[in-house]
Amino acid sequence: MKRFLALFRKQRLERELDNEVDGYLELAERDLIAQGMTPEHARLQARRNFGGIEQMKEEHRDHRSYPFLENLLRDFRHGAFALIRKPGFSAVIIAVLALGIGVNTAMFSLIDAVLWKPLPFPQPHRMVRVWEIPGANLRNGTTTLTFLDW
Amino acid sequence: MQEVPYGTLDLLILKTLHSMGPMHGYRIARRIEQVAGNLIQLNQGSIHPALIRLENRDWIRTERGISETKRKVKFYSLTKAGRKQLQAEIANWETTTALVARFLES
Repeated sequence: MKRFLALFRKQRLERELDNEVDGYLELAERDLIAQGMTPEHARLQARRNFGGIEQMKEEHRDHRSYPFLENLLRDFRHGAFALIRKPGFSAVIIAVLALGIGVNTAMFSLIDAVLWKPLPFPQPHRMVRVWEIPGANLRNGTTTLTFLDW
Repeated sequence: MQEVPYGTLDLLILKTLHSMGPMHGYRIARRIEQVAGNLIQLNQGSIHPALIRLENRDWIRTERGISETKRKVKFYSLTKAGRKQLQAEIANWETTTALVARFLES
């Protein structure tokens, strides 16, 4: 839970971390001065004894929250800002994507309905089409009575 | 100067907090060096990650305190789970050393 909250309190945690490091260095300096070092020497020596300050901070960051989620959030934020910075470009991209997805969906719905779903009759393969061509210019001259006879 | 023996840092920190009460990270490191007769060197760079790890496991907790240089800093103290963990680690350590000692004698 604490690690999860750490995702949203980064600035405060950074400040705390800096404060911890400073607190440590101060104490180390004080001890070294008490041992007879000049303040300047003590300052340098305290830093030397500390080891890699940035490495330690990095390790701290890795442990206090979930680096994977943190990176994900950062990527997300970065992407959002990039979109906001070029609204025209973003609008075009979004329009193209929307159109593409829309056309695709429409196409698929049509193909699905026409070709893939079987006809809603019990034995679709037995369906036939019947008509008669009574004259040159008429396509279908079947009367109701003839139809009923069939 | 030697590094802290591998895998014993947690035990040393827990034991230090157990016998000394709440302490600042710097003081913990100094105390461990002192008890070791200054034979080992322990910098904040290595003790701090260990403290965070122990805190994440709820073996120690932090509270605000004022350092000797009048700065608001974190003080670490043992939790109940930490006390239990300390007993477990001590038992574990004793088993290990007894085992190794037997090998060396034979």
